[in-house]
Amino acid sequence: MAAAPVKRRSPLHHTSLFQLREPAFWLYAVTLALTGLYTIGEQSLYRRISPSGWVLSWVLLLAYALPVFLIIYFLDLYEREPMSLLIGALLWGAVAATTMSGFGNSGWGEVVARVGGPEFAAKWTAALTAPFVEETLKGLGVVIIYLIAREEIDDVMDGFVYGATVGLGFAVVEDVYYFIAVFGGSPADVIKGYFIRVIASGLYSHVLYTGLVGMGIGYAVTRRGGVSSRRRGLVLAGLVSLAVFGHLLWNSPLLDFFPEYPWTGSDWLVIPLATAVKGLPLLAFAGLAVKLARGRERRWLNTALMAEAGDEGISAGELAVLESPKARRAVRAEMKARAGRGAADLLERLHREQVNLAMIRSRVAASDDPALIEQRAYCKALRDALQAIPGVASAEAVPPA
Amino acid sequence: MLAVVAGGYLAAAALSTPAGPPLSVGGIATVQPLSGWRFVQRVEEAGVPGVVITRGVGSFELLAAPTDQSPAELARSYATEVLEAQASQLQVSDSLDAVTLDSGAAVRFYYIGVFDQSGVPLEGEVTVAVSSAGNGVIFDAWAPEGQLQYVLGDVETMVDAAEIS
Repeated sequence: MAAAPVKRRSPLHHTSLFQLREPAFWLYAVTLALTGLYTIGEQSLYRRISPSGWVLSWVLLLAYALPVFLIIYFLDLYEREPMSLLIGALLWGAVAATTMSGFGNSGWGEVVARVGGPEFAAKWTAALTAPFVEETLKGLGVVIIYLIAREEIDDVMDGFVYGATVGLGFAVVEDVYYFIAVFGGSPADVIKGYFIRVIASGLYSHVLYTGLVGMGIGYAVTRRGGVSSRRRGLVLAGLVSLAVFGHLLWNSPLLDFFPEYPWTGSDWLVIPLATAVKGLPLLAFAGLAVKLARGRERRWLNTALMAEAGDEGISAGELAVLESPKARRAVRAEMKARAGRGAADLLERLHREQVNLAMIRSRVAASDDPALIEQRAYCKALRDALQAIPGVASAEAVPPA
Repeated sequence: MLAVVAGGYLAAAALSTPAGPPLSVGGIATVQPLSGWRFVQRVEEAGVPGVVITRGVGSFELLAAPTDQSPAELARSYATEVLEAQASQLQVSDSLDAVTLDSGAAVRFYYIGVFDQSGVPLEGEVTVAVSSAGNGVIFDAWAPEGQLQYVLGDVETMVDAAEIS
């Protein structure tokens, strides 16, 4: 039986958050440290105001944030982002962006009040400050992650993943503030706030806005080769504007179908409808954009590996499986049932390395580039090891037609 | 990043320009209205002279007179003899915050109450200072509930810069 090749770090994606030689890392670290002290102070204050409400807030929000984080993580079909960078993005949103936005919103809010007067400011300050301040500061997090690990953002979808992760961190910490400082802080108030801000509105908030901003950044930084800088700038500006507009509409008194406070009886049913009026169109757009981005990832994979199919790195049948996440899950499940968990894990490694083969193929000029040759050989070695496991060779690693 | 975080404060400060002549009360205190604020009238509250200026729904009153009370005592007197006397409903903050003005130490409290038949709750911020010469000054800013925060930037700028003899 052939031994499985030793696990190795991918030649492509080994960039962690901790790039000590990158100035962007130090900007990130210093900003996070300074704003972190403030955030700890804020959370400590909320805990003193309402210990039970504060704990309940975090429990409920983690129950929301964890599945959302996993959905974002798994949206990226072929090349999952390094966890340290995702955690870094989450912390930027939760700590740096929220703290700086608090100051920024307050300062620009004074400008709105100065220019428009108190009646106008009471209606429009949230709409005219937060969308611009918060989307800028959250988007800056995606830019800093890109500057720390340039090679990790190599498609629009990556930008969405980092942007949505920054937005998720922001949303969680902002929600804690709302539950304690705006809704009242008692456990009953927290549950009321959770219904309004998470159950009725959670789909439309910062995850969505910053996901779109991240897509724009992803487009701008990854299409340098084939797309003019003017077009990249327009797409970036368009997506950022859309996120800002969606956020502005959300915060504005326009299309406000919220029932009058205090809410009773059927009001609680009207609230999700009221939030859907403002949020659903942007959610639909973002859903379409993500679908297109995933389709583009699929086409990219196919284009990159078509020339390789039949060579030692990947067979035509394996390519067909690799292109479909559903088919990949199916063959792994079948492999596990037929030849055990070890074989299924090895097959997963083969799939991952074949995606890396596609990435190398799309980055090198010659088909006999040493990196490409080495990766083909590595894939072949994995396949040989897999086929040497009893029970594997009896069937193709291809799903039934 | 700095422009987004700090730019608003700089822009707001640049927009907070003095406008119109300074308003003096009893030769004791002088306040310089900022742009957008206009003179309403001279008033007298519980025998103490004052002046009222306004910006939209926000109002700002300055009262000044000699006193032998401390800032904390004067603040409590104002809350009971003026605010409570005029309000049909009133809630006043439990404690007095210590603040430092350009002219010296002062105390501050907040209130919310209904003051007329419209039933609209007003929220307010009161700052009280007593000069070393024994002159007491009361700054009272109010607006409909939820809107005070949008005039406090101006109000606190005017209070900070007020001259008290």
